[in-house]
Amino acid sequence: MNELETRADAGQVWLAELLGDAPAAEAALSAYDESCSDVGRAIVGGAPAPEALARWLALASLGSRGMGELIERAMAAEAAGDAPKATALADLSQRLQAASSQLSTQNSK
Amino acid sequence: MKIKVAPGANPLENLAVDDKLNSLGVTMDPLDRSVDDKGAQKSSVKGGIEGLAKAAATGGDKKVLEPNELGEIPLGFFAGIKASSAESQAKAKIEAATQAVAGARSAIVDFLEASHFSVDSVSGVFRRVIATATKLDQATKSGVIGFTTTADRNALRAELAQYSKTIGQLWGSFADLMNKQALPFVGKRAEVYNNAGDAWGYGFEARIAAESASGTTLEVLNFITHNVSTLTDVHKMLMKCASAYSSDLLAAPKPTGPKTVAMQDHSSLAHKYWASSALASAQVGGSNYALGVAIDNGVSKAWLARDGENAGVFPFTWVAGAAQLPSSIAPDVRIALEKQLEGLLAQGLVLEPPAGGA
Repeated sequence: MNELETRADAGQVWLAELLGDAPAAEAALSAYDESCSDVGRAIVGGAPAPEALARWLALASLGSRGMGELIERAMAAEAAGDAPKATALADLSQRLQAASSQLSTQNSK
Repeated sequence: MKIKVAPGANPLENLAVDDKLNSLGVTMDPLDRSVDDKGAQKSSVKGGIEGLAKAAATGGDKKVLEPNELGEIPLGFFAGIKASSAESQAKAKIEAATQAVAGARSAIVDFLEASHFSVDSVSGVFRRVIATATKLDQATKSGVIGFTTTADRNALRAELAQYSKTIGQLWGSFADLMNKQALPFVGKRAEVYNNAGDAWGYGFEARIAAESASGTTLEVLNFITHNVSTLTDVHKMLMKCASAYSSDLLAAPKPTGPKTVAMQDHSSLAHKYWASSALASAQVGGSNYALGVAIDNGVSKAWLARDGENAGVFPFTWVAGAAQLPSSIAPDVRIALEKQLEGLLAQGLVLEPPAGGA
């Protein structure tokens, strides 16, 4: 398995955990939050190191893909009349946004 | 009067400045980046050139408009949209945001599927993404969420979900590019081929291999690296807006079981008329409005009262879970009442005729 496949797999695992049962989602979000905080600090300033920027992009990619998936699933749950699931997914999207904001608060004007 | 428009700190920010002025209908002389009375005359800027000068003055020099003063220009991004009412204005904003998101997604897909990439193509995608983030941000902040119907917001939500995934692919592609650069084999084309001599990876990865030899990859990487603050701003805005529309789901009426509304018999010789007591109410412009439903000889209707007086009986339809009241009712009143009725519909509203009336 090459490096790209490994990263793609990691992304899939992360998404599955995020959308899965509560303990796995909590752990995935917590790990994501920590990573975002670290990378947010690492890219402060004009031109960050390629490694830091690559990590930033990978985390932003995960966050965006996760957000898209959450919105879609929340809408589907809402349309199916499954209000508790729609609420849980929408709530998860709020927390994902909060975690992801760590990627940019360091650089905010 | 003549206002100079200061360029951005980098090419990308420069594009964002130009986009903003274009969106406001401001005509700038490209030779000296200046705007005169005529260039601002037909724009959506309140006060024309004086409005631009006023915005410029926030930084101290009213003759030079700096990029960070663009947000101070009177009237917003949607200033060009003419609306006959607050409702149609909200609809126009949410439609504009929906179209922008769909357009940006298409541009990203085109970029990802193109056979070549360059600083120009990356810059073009960034420009589109920035414009979309700005439009989304403006729509979200302007109260569109609370002032449009669920159907309107669902259209944007669906587009946002797809867009969010697509932009995730874009960031992922750039991450791959960065990782290649960080690894020792960047620029060494042979090392991104496998043992059989085939290109390693596909799509974007293959292009990285192809472009590395020409030095384009390094130029693109340099461009991305120097625009990292723009990336972070765009990502922040997208996530914030997406979560705002997602949280709108949280605020949506939750089914709590069917609500049964007893209809009262108002039969007369001419009509078989049943009506409910008020189902929704609103206080607008100092008046109290109440709305209920009625069945007149088998036809669904809505009745409206204003300060306790009859204000009309209207044809009334339930369409796809949305209550549609006639446009003859003032928009502020109508939207407030429709929202409450949508809540009842979500609960599975049942109209129960009076005993013996069915």
